[in-house]
Amino acid sequence: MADLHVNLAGLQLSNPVLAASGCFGFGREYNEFYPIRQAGGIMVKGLTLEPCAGNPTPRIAETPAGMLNSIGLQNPGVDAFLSNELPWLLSQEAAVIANINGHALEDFEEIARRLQGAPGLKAIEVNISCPNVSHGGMFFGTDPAMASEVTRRVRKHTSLPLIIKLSPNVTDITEIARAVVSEGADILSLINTLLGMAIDVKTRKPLLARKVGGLSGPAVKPVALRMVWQTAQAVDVPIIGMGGISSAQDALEFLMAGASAVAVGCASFVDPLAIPRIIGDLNAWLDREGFAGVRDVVGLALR
Amino acid sequence: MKAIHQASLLKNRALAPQLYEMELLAPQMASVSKPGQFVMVRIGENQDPLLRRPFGLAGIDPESGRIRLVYQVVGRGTDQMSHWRTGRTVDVLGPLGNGFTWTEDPGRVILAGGGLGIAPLLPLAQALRSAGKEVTVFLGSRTESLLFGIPEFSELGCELQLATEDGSQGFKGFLTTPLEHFLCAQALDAVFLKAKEASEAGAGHAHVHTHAMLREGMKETGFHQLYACGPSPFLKVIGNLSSRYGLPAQLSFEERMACGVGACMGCAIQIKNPDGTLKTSRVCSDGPVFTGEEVHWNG
Repeated sequence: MADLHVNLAGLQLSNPVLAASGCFGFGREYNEFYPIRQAGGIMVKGLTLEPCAGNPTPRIAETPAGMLNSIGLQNPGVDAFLSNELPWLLSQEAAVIANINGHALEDFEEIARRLQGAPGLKAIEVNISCPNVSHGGMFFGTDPAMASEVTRRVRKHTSLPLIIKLSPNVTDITEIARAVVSEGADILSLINTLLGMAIDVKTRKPLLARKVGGLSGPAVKPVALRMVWQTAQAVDVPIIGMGGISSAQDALEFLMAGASAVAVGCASFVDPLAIPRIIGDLNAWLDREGFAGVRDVVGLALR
Repeated sequence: MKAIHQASLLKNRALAPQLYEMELLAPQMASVSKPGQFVMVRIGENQDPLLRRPFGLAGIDPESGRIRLVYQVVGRGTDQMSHWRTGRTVDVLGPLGNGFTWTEDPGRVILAGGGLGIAPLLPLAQALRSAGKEVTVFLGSRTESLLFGIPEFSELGCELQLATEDGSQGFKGFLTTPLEHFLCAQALDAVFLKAKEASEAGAGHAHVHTHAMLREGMKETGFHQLYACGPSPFLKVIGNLSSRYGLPAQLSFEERMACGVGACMGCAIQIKNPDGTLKTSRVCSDGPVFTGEEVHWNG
């Protein structure tokens, strides 16, 4: 048995395979397939200050080896998370990471304030990269100055490990990475979805009601991997890598590219048991290759 | 615990051009599935096509351990399915969703299925007939070859009315037209019968025909539930008829889904709370069956 424990700037996790935000709800659905405490951590569905109904349907379109989504941050709001979802997640002994979103800078601050001191919460992930909302969202994550400002404001209100989730929809992701690290980001997570679209030739219209959406799944993996690899060389903070991971081999590629942990997103839709399967296969691979711990493979491809 | 089943493919054959039926041996699933529930079938062994495809259960046989699906070839996923050979193992997630509900007593019900929405009405009709109900079924599709289930419904002793958009079978047009004629005739008959009885008893003459009277008449007919499955615009018309005639409806929705279990929030539907406020529910895990009253129709 290899040692799967990881410590990301104080965020201690039993293993490096997390559930990616937006692909795992608040854990209840997948807890019907396996005990969700098996996941290294759960990055919950993106939270907003007020409850949010999300975008019109269709919200989903399949693309080659991938999918587009434009959910639009449908969620019950931070207060309902604190009163209903967090206590339940903790009762399942899950390692919980709150994903927060805002339409304005003040929203991020207020959510961080409300989460401060929430018992059992492990970390905060700030989503400055959602491509599916008209106000805020990705806007905060594509401009270094704005990304810094969001990070600075949330940092003021939280003592939890602070994760900033980066958008791939930029010219140079390392520029944004450096900017948020300089304002106190403890950990970076990347990538969020790539902005894309699909058109129904029969109806002559975009498939998604909101026309464009975020691309995820195996199709984005090479892009995500490249960005993790670049970012790992640009900054000194731990990285949670994600984007199309659906096997232990995919996870290992991200770890070798410099990620200290990984998150699994759309693979859970296809195989509800994807996370425990990847953890098991990762463990077996480490044993087979003679690694004492998963930490020993982090960044191997950077050398 | 929910589970993924490795089902054995027993039958996969064309019913008509582009329309197929599939039978799977999945005893555990067949023993717990209810009419109106659905399954998510994995298509690609690798990563393309990526997502599972949802199919309403068109047959549930706990005794033989079989489930039946009816599908139309509309894209890459269903095209691949149509080439699957018997004996193959099929990765199936389910049963999923809430399913239809009914009471175990006699009474009259109406079923309306549009296109592939006919599929989940087959096991439903079976259950309703077993409960001793009188079942009238309205089936509609684009053209005759895409109508299916007619022998099964007949064998169950259901009354059948058919409609095709091109007029190749039954009424020419949408099936909601003959359905409305049927409801109106049933309700009016009851109204006139009541008026006749009243007039014979010397209580005056018949009243003006109003929606309230139609609803009153509907109650007299013994019809107490309408079930429907099909595309959303079709269900909207059914929802309207349901409220106009005061006949409660259970509507089964079709929507694009990614996960099928309630995690991705892809298949959203607007539902009215009892206090009139709206909430966004999930077709896959809160539905796919919703009552006509609770659905909020956009536009």
